[in-house]
This record gives sequence, C-alpha cells and structure tokens, in this order.
Amino acid sequence: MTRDAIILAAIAGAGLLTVLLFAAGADGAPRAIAALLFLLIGPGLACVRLLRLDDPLTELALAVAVSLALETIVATALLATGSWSAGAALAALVAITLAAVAAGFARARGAGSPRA
Amino acid sequence: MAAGVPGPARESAGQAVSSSPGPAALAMAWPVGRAPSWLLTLAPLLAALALWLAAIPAIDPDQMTDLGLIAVLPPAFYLALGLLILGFCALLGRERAGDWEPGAYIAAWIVILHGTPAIVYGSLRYAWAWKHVGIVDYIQRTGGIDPAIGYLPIYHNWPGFFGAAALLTEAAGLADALPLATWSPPFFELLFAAALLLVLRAVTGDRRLAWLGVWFFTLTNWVGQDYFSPQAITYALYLAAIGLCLWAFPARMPLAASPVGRVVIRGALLRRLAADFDRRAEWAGAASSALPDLSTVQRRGLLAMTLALLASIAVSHQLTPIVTILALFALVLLGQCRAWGLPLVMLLFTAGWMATGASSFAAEGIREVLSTLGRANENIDSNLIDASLFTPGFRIVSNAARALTAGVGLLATLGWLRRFHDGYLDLPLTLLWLAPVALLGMSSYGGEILFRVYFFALPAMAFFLAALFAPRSWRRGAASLIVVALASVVLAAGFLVAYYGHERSNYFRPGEIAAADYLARNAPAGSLIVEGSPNYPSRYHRYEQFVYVPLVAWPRGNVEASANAYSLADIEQMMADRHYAAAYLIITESQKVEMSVPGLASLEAIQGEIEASGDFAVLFRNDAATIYGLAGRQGAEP
Repeated sequence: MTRDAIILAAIAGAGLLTVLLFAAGADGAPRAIAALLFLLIGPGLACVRLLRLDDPLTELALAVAVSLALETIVATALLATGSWSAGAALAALVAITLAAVAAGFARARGAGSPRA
Repeated sequence: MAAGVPGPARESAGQAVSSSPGPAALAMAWPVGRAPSWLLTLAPLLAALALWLAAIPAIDPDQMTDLGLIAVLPPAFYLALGLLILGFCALLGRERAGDWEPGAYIAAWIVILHGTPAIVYGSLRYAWAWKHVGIVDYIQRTGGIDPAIGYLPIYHNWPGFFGAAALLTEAAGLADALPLATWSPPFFELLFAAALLLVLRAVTGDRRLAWLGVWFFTLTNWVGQDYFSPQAITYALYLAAIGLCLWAFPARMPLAASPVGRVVIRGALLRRLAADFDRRAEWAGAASSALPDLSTVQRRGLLAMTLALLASIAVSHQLTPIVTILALFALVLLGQCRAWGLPLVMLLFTAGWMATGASSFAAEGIREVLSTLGRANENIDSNLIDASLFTPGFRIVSNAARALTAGVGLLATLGWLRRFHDGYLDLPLTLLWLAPVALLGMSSYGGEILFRVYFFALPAMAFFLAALFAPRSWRRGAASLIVVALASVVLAAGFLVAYYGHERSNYFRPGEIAAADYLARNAPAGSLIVEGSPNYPSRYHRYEQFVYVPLVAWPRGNVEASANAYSLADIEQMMADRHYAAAYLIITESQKVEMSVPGLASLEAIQGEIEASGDFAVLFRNDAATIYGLAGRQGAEP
C-alpha cells in the first residue's frame, strides 16, 4: 500500500467511523475525536489529495479550509431549504469524501501519471 | 533574478552556514555528542512548553486586576515566550531550516498565548462567544433558523458558520457548542497562520521571509477576532482564497496592460512611472520562485476549491465578503491574478445570498447591515472610549492597543519603503493592504472600522514588518536577527497588554455560570430577564424565548437596544408587567467589572438600591452573581 493509499483509506475510515458512531448514538470521547478529526480535515484532504500538490503544508492548510467551507455550504443549503438534519449533513459530507477518495484510488490504479 | 537589481536579492538557497547565536551554533561548541539536529533545533521550544505547563497551575484568574491576565502571569510564562522568540530567531539564521521547525515554533506560540485562557479559566471566555453558542443551540433545538426572528436576526440571515458549528457539535455528540467555542481562539489562530503562509509563499520565494511574516502576524493580531464567530472562520477562508488566487492563478501583467492601467496610464510621466513600477514588480515577482508549475487539472481543482471558499464566505458574514470583493477586484484589475472572473463570481455570490437567504434582513438596506457589524470585541469597544475615564490599568491597556496599531502601521510603511529602496514593488501585498482601507469610506460606525481595517490589512502589513527587520542576506544576518528578536519582544509586550488587558471582564467565574445555568434551566418561555449589562454568560440556551433588558448598555450602544432603566421604579414596573411569564433580575461580577469604568453608572449602586428597597426576593445567590425576582410576583419563584 502506498502512502497515498494509506492516507485515502484513513480518511474514508474516519468518515465511516464517524457515521457509525453517530448512527449508534455513541457517547463520549471516541465519537467526539473521530467526528472532529474527520470533519476538520477529512473532506478537504480527500479533495486536495486528488490534485497531488506535493506540498504538505499547503495541502494541510487547504484541507482544513476546504473542509470548513464544504461544511458551511452543506449546512447552509439544508438550513436555507428548511431541511436541516445533522445526520443528513454528515451523510452528505461523507458521500463527498468517499467520492473523492474513490476518485483518488481510481486515478492511482489508472496510471502512474501524477501530473496530467 | 534580472541582472542589475539595485538591491541585493534575498537568498533562498546557499551554503549551510549558521551565523546566528542559537542552538545550532551552541551545538558546535558544546560536547553534545551525536544529538540529532532536530532535537537541538527544537530544544528551546520543548523547554518553553515545559515552562508554560509548569506556569499554568500558578495562574489564578480570580486575582486579575485592571491590567487583565498579565497581572497574574508568573515569570515562567514570560520565560517560555522569551525562549520561543530566541529559538525562532536562531532558526531563521539556519540555512537548512525546513518548514516544520518554524511552523512548530509559531504553533507553540499560538497554543501558549491562546490556549492559556481556555485552560486556566475552565470556561468559555468573552460574552459574545456565549451568544454565538446560543445560535447553534437554536439550530440544535428547533432544527432550523428563522430569518425573521426578532432578536439577533443577523445570525439567522448569514447562518453558514452556525450551521457548520451545529454539524460539528451534533456529529461529535456534544450537548452544546461550548467545548468547541472554548478552543476556537487557538484553532482559528493556527488556521490564520497556515492560510497566511499560503499567501506569503505565493509572493516571495524566500521561505524565511514568509515565515517571519507569519510570525509577526501572530505577534500583532491583537484585535481578538479569533473567538467562536462568523468573522473568525470567514477571515481564515478569505486568507486561503486570496492565497489560492496568488499561488495558483498569479499574473504578472505590466501595469500599462492591466485593465486599470489601460485607462489611467496616459502621458509620458505616468508611462515612465509605470515602467519603473513594472520593473520593480517584476523583480519582486521573480523572487517568488516558489510558484508551482500546475497542470490544467490541478488548476481546475484549485479553482473549484476557491469557489467553495468564496461561497462559504458569502453565506457566513457581512463584512468579509465586501473585503473579499475589494481585494479580488484590486488583484484582477491591476493584473496580479489571472482568474479574472473571481471578483464577479464573488459579487454574484454575495448579492445572490443577500437577495435570497438574507433577503429579510438585506431589505432594510445595505447601510443598515453595515452599521450592525459592530459586534465588536471588548478590546475594540473599550479602546475607543474616552481614555480620560479609565482607571490607570485600563488606560495602559488602551494606550498599548493604540500604540501597537499605530506602530505596526508605521513599521510596515518603513518596511514597504525599504523594499522599494531595494528595488522591489510587492504589488499583490500592497493591493491587499490598501483594499480594506476602502472600507473607511463605506461606513462611519464610530471609530471601530479602523480596527477592522487593521485586521484585514494586517496580513500584508506583517509581511512588510518582516521585510523591514529581515537581513538583506540571511548568511550575514546575525545582527539583524538580534534586531528581529528585540522587535519581537517589543511587539509581544504590546500584544500581551492589548490582547490580555481586558480579560477581567472576559473571564466568567464558575458562580456566574451557575447563575446563568439557573436561568437557562428554570426561566419559563416568555420570561423577562433584566440584566446589569450583557457582559455575562447569557443567551446560550433558549435565547429566543426570553426578553433581555440590560440596565446599563455599553455607552456606544453597540449592544442591544437598552432601556437604560436606571431607576428602581422603572425596574419594578418592567418586572411587574404581566405580559411576561416571569421576571428576573441578574447582576454578576463581570457585569460590574465591565461597568467599573469611572463615569459609567455603577452597578454596585443600583444593586445597593435594589437590596435596600425590600421589594425584591433573592432567588439565587453565590459569590459571583445574584438573581432577584420581584417580591410577591407569581412566576418569579423557581
């Protein structure tokens, strides 16, 4: 497994774990840690990794900023349409993340051509 | 680098020569054996963290004076900061210093300065942060927002931040957003630093200069817009978006060819000036060798991310979108960003949101919106009040804030001039510095806009501060690094006074929180809550179910409309009103602290009158707060 694949798998795992703990109504630190770690960095990192910027600090800054932006947009869309539900918002973000992770895996398998 | 550059170019590469005193130099002199170099580099940092952790138990917030937190910080705390300054400056002298080491120092600085209140207070600091928690609570309880709500509607019209916070709170299984809010200042400051690095690395290839800019930013960002708030998150997203524009979509258009230049630059003199500016801008641009060679796919991806950042800014705050639009237009019109559609898109996002999501609020007019932006930090408010009314400590704090603001502006100007003298024109940063200044003409609310302008101009000013103090050659820069260290000490001292100076009224004791919890638990919907002032933990739970009447509004009236009902008869009449399900009067220590400025009505006196009248029953009392009901009134009893 390459480093890239490990990162992608970890993001997907954190997202799924967050959803599982949320759905199970789990209490306590494990749920809080999983959810905050995932939501503060996961969706953005999944998207940023697709671009292969080869610059860890830039990737990190963008990952957090884009994660917050995606959460803001998803939450606002639900609030503005009167259909707010934390579960739905979380599901949407995990879906976005998994789609980006899948695209990342597909690209890694498709070619070793990092710079299209 | 073009030949014939008048000033010596800053070096971003060269031989590994350390000319500064510091851990690396010491390592050569001391018999440290085979200790790894990263350990030596980080030794001052680790020592600083150890000192800080040792200092924390000695900090007693109950002993704060009118100088705020600095009155109770032990010497070990200052020693920790001193070690960080020395270690960071020594790091700058090292040729091989990578990115993680200066990043670690800046992160440690932020954690120490902004994590200390979170740890020491054991509760959320700053009254407005509690009120923002209340909006998240509203979403959690009711499952939505109400843009037409009577009280604090602005947050329901720009709900982006609160929605995201509600998502985080619910996903994490937290009862409320208080834990998130408590740790917001260090989190947002770290994010500001990371996003600013993106901006600065796009405009200079000298990594050490970029890090020094971030360092000065963290040392001078005293305005306190880092608490749990829409302005904090949108500021970080603004910096990230601008960073992406300059990093992924840079343009180096000659001034005469830029949209503005084509209109403005006519005549021989202007052409000659523009040509000179172009040469300087080109030199500065040539120094930004860090710009990546991005593929089309990468650029498209980064453009999509920029759009996401801009959209989330538009739905979360009122002032930040305006600054973003100004900055983007400036960059595009002067040929510094080639994504020319971005300012138009941002304008569309902003207008689109005002016409839809925020329509019930925007209907009152943009001017109205602007005038309500003044949910200012305590720091800002109180620094604009006539200083002659202040206690001595208050006056020191106020003057430190003014001096720091003016000093940073002056030093940044000198830094800009030094760069110009050296042959550089940093056009993108100059534009980012000037763009927020346009706000001055857009609103006249008090003098507060000055501090908002400072906040938005600070990223660029911090770079020019770095440019002023950085050596022209890092290899021969030992003396300059000593100057950097001294400047850091002075700026940090100003920061500590300006940022920590008002902490006595930002800190809430456990007793106050217990009293606030009593109201949140027991007051029936439709209750009247008369309060000494809004400066206490309030409106964080079921806020829309109560009517709040502050007895003494802060004199500029930037908080809710206050009845200013000083007289006992007025208070009794209000509380006897049967329209309310129940009526409470709450007076707390931090309200008194806020109102203790001479010249303002003293809550002590009002409370004395209340106690002496015999018309009020004490419903709740502890060492930090008292809640009264009107004696004999039904519904006031718990």
